[in-house]
Amino acid sequence: MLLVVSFVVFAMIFLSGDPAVLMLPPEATAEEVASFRHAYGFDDPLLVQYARFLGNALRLDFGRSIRYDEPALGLVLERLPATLQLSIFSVVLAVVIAIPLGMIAALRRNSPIDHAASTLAILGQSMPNYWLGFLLVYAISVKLHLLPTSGGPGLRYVILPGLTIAFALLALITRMTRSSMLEVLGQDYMRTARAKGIRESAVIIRHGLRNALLPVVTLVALQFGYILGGAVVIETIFAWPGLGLLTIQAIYNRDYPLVQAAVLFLATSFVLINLATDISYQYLDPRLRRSNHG
Amino acid sequence: MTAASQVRKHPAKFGFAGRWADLAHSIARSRLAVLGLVLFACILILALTAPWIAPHDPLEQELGETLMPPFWETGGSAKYLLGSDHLGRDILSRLLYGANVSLRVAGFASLFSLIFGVAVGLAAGYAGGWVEAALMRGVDVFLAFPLILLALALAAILGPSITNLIIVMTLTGWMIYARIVRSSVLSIKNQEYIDAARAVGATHARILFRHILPNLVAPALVLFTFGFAQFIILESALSFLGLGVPPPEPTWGRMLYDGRDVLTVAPWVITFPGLAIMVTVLCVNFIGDGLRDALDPRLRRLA
Repeated sequence: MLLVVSFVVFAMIFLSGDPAVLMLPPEATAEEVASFRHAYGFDDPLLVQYARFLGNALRLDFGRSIRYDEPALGLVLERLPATLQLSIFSVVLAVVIAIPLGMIAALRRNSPIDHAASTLAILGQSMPNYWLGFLLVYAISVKLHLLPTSGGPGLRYVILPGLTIAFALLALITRMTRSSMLEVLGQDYMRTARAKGIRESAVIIRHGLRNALLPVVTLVALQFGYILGGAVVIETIFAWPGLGLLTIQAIYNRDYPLVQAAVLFLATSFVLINLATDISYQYLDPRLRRSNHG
Repeated sequence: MTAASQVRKHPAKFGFAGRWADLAHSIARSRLAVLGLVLFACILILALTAPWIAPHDPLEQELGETLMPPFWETGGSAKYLLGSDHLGRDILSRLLYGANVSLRVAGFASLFSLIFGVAVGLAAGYAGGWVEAALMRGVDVFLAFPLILLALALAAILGPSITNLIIVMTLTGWMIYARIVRSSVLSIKNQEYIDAARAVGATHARILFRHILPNLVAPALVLFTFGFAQFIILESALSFLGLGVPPPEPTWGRMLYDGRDVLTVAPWVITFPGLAIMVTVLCVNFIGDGLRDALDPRLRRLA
């Protein structure tokens, strides 16, 4: 699987045309192009180049960034903490708000809280989240001068981009918690638990929530992978110095070794997160083993 | 008497027309879906009639009148109802033309994703064996990338143009159709009526198109609606990053891109295209919810 992904990432550079012509300024002479090709090995057969790329990748060597003239992977890893900080902040924020909200919405069905929660969920699903980012910047930074618009890292800087990412996530998690909780509330074991005379709060939390959270855990884990990729847009808006910003700048600069390193890194993390989720999911709830496809 | 209540009197009609009437009836029961449908129809009409109803040429620059606020704010004028952008272009006109481009891109991309994805899913599910294994591995590879990253990388490779944008979006959107269609085909393929058709000598093509494909209309339609909504957002995100529709063509995402640098002085430049995206996506999602509930409640988990 990762092998194929690596091939796609490798092939990217060739689909876009002659890399030598792309990376050199247009006034470069034919000799310069030829020596550049030779220096980067672009004059070897494709398979040789792919084998070299793969071999280097396995040794975690993705070549040097053309723009920064530093090892590409080093640059990627340097930016990783900032992106992780932002992602974890948003996920925690979203989970802390969404799970109680979804739970209350399910317990008090058709109450004002339930309606508010579904409105929130629909809004979060339909709003381009970077647009929300702009609105937040305008309201909180420009009008109220409460927080800085961009920059970082640091707690004061992480709040706005974190809120922006958290909002879309919040919508999803609330929706999922609510429907999952509703499903669980109708189960026989809930009635059994009540019949045993356990306090209502214990019934809800120990028997209800614990079971209802299974699909939610999966959702959060899967979304975490998407956040890593989707951070590109949000990081651009807030000039957050993370992986996303690095990737998009590398794309603008046609810094292909860096793009390859960043994309391969993100795709690999994504595959690994999904794999870990699949495994933990089946471990947590064997009943779902078969319905997990499709 | 409304159309819906008349349908109720003849619910047991068979055949194609009857099925559509049933569908219309079920959708009509969901108020939100009807609202979405009506609003979306209005947006579509506005987008299609943009050349006739737009007050200005969307590309015309009036450098003496840049960043004019909307008419209800001080300093605004009736000349630019929703204000003007940093090049003095009329925002309302760009919004109308932008609707045309954004909806067209999302529409074509959804259509091509549908065709390609259904074809792959159908082939994989029906053929089985190594064909299925190979095709589904292909699906997995595309699913291995976070959607926006895949779109970004592809858009960067192909370069910005409307055609390339549609290609990029199609390449990121077809997998879900392939997966759903394949699993549907797998469950249909072994039903008795398929065996019966085969027993009376039906060709593969006939079985596929007469007996299997009609069963896939419902899930495909639901996926199409949600996919369309997603593509509107994806188009805007890519255009916003400068990797979508190239200037000067107005699209909603491009307008957001143009507005980001003047956010502090002219917030209206990004407010209106953002609202347009949100309302459109909201409508399409309402329609999708209605369709899903009407056609196949089992698909609930997808959205």
